[in-house]
Amino acid sequence: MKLRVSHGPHLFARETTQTLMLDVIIALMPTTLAGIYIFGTRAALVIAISVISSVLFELIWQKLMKKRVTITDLSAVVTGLLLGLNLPCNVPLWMPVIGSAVAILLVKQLFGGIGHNFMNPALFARAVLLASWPLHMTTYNLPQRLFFGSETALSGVDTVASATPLLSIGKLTNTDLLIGNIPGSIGEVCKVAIIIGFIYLMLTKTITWHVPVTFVGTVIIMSYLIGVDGIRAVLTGGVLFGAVFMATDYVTNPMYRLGQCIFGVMCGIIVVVIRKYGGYPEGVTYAILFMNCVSPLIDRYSKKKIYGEVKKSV
Amino acid sequence: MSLFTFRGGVHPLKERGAGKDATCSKAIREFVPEVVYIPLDTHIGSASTPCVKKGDTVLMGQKIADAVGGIGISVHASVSGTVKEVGNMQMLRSMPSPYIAIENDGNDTWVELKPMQNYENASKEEIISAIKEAGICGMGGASFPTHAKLNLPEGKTVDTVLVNGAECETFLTADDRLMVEEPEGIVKGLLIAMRAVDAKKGIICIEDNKPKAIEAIKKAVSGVQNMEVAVLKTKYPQGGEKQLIDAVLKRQVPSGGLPMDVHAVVINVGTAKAISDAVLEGKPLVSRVTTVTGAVKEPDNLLVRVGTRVIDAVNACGGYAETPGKILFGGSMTGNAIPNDEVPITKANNGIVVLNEKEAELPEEFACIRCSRCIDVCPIGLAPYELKVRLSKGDLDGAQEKNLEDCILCGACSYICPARRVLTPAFKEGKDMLAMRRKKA
Amino acid sequence: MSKNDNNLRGVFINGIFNENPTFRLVLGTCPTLAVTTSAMNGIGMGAAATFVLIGSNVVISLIRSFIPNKVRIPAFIVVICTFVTMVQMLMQAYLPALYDSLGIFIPLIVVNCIILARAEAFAAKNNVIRSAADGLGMGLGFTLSITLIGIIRELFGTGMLFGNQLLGSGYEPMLLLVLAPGGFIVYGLLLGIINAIGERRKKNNKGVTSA
Repeated sequence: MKLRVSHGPHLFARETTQTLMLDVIIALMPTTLAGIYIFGTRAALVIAISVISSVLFELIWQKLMKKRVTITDLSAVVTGLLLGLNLPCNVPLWMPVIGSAVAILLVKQLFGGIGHNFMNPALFARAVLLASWPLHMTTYNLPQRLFFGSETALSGVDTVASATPLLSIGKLTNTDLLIGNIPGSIGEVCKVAIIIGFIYLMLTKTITWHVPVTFVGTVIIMSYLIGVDGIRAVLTGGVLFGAVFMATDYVTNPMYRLGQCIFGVMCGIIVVVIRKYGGYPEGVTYAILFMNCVSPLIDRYSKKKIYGEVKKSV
Repeated sequence: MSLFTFRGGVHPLKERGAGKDATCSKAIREFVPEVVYIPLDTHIGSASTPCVKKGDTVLMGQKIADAVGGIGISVHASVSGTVKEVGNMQMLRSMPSPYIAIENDGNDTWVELKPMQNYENASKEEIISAIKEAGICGMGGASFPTHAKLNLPEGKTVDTVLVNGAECETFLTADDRLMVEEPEGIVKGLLIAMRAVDAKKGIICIEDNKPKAIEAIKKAVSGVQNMEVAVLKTKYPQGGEKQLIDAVLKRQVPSGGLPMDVHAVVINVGTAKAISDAVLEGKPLVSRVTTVTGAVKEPDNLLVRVGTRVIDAVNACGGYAETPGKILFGGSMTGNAIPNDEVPITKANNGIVVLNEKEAELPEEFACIRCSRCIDVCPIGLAPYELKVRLSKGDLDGAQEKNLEDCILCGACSYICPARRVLTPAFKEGKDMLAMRRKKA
Repeated sequence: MSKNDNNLRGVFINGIFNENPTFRLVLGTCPTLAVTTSAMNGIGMGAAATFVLIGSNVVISLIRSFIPNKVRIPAFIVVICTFVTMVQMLMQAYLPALYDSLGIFIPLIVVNCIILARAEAFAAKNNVIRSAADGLGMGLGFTLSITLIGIIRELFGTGMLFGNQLLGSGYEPMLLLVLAPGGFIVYGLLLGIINAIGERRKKNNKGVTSA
């Protein structure tokens, strides 16, 4: 009889990297479907190209570099999906491909693959695309279909060309903002769907409340402090999507819960500051990317107390 | 009701249903094998020296090996019969361990027992020497000789003795059943231990997933002075000595210290029962309750003789249900995998868990995704991911700086890690290397 | 004689490949990142730096035995400043367009690490001819490197090369490459590729010698 001898533990929790990524994908489904419903099949095409090219780039790189192929951990799918959801639906179809290359090759694989990227790959890819082809990235189509079929105040205009539609939403009601009857990136418009995804992630314990709640909370409070409607500040732009799906990326946010709260609050502050004083109308992307870079520093200063720690005497 | 608990920890029972259902409601059954192979070096400390030779006739409870050194324990025959062999065999350690095999004559003839007539008036020294004579060591797994634990060094005082009935490990129900069936013995054992260390208070700690045990113990404790029951939240590693003290007494054992530094002593329920048997009946430690479960046909709690081979115990439970892939001494979090099924049961063995071939497979290791789960669950508050990074770079000093030595090797981080990082085994290796380096210095 | 020749060639080649200031020594990264938005800028910057390098190397090598050790850095800086001022004035007079596009980075050549480093590490210890060869090699190495970066950034960032439309009108220029982050990314990628090639060559060489 051959018995295996190994050190304990001999039992493992159900979650693996793969199941966690699958949970994120499931949580992204409501907002993906809502985006496709609102913006039409073109949105589906953009998302599909983004996902497929992400996975292919990872596969090709790992084959070329003779590394273990880890596309089955689904992390490339998540990156591709997040990238696709962060694009307006009418971008040229080569853009998601370039974005995937930047996300997977430049940010993820060159730094050592999963777990070693210092910035959120999808978000950095979005920043690259935004800086490179600002016109494509800021021309938003109006919703093709509306939930509840109501006419929005924006009808009659074909596209809204501004850095994000933040400037032209004055006439929309909060309900319109909540259910996504607004122009914007594919995944960020339907806030209800994002909140459903958030609840799913919380229920499956894939993420904790620390980052999203502090992030959104700070945006609300800061907005009121500078005299802007805080609720509206959250319902417009990418705050909710960023707080739930982007800032909660394991790899690039701090390891300790205290650090994650600091991370969330700082993200919120930077978003509001960029919106109010910055050169861009929207600052979620840059706020999160900036804080990604600061995460290791936050980790250094937010340790847990160790059981029975003896003060080192002189 | 507010439950006692600590920070961190995991819930392997809740998450995996690696339940205790199979055995927790079954009464303890006695099992006596034909031949016992009594190991001599399974406790912490030097191996005991045999004082019998091949062909000798021994009685049950007769001393067959003498203790060596201050933290050695003496070993007694667990059956009456003839010494068949004195030899060495591959067991839990990397080197073969010495053992004495005794052919059972089936009579269980006890040697002359010398119970202590009046323990309430006995001196500390008398109690401790009785415990020492009985060869008792910690029965929860660590096998630290009990007489050494209760023999406090000069200047140390203990105000509370905790009896550890948490049994937070997966699968095991031996302590649970013992508490249900022998609450009186446990309470008496605790009283004796309290007397041995001059403690004013005794607390029996039980996790809240054992309602029957809590009921039985509460009944036995009622009316006994200075004794109470603490109900703990079910969480792993609630039964860790440090976690138990933190949860119940709200004291933290200083890094590198012992429970007595915070005026506490922790003993296992099995140990408490063994203490009462030793002092009140004069019986040495020759049998214990062990859970036999996993891939066996009829999982059960057996009262087995020390030295019963695993294969005999498994056959007593109907034999293997599936081809075994891994057999554990202890639960699936901290249990030791044994090399073959002829290894005998030790005094500290609270369970035999048979895993099938699929469960025995080691998961593939992936890259850390920095999900923070290991930090959340570490009951000590360490950063396992960071320790692992340092250790895999060979940076032993860096790991020491990050408090590697405080790690209790509970396995919670390895259990929870979604990337299946090999954490706990790496920490064990690192701790061993640090200990070795210290010895050299 | 021939030995000396070989040696001189070695000094010259060294600056271009083995100790390429941009990719191997990672010196003078400030102008490398800042002015490489076009190939022409790269060449102009490189030429200016090469001129200063040769001049300062020669002069410092000539006066190296007169400079007290304690004040050698200020002395080197004065020499370098002289040449930089010459370059600046010459460029302003004869190449005003290039002068405008390089702007502040011409006077900043004074503090370019390559020049001070070569003065300190080479010219102060070697004779005039060798110092001149080193200056020329280093200058060329610098020029080639930043021109390469310039070519990549200009080509993909604007679709043009030396001001001529090269990629068809269907190409949509990747603006990022001519912005600051593009400089970092292109420089980083090239550094990585060149290091990887160097590593591989080292490994191959080892294989040969051991066999």
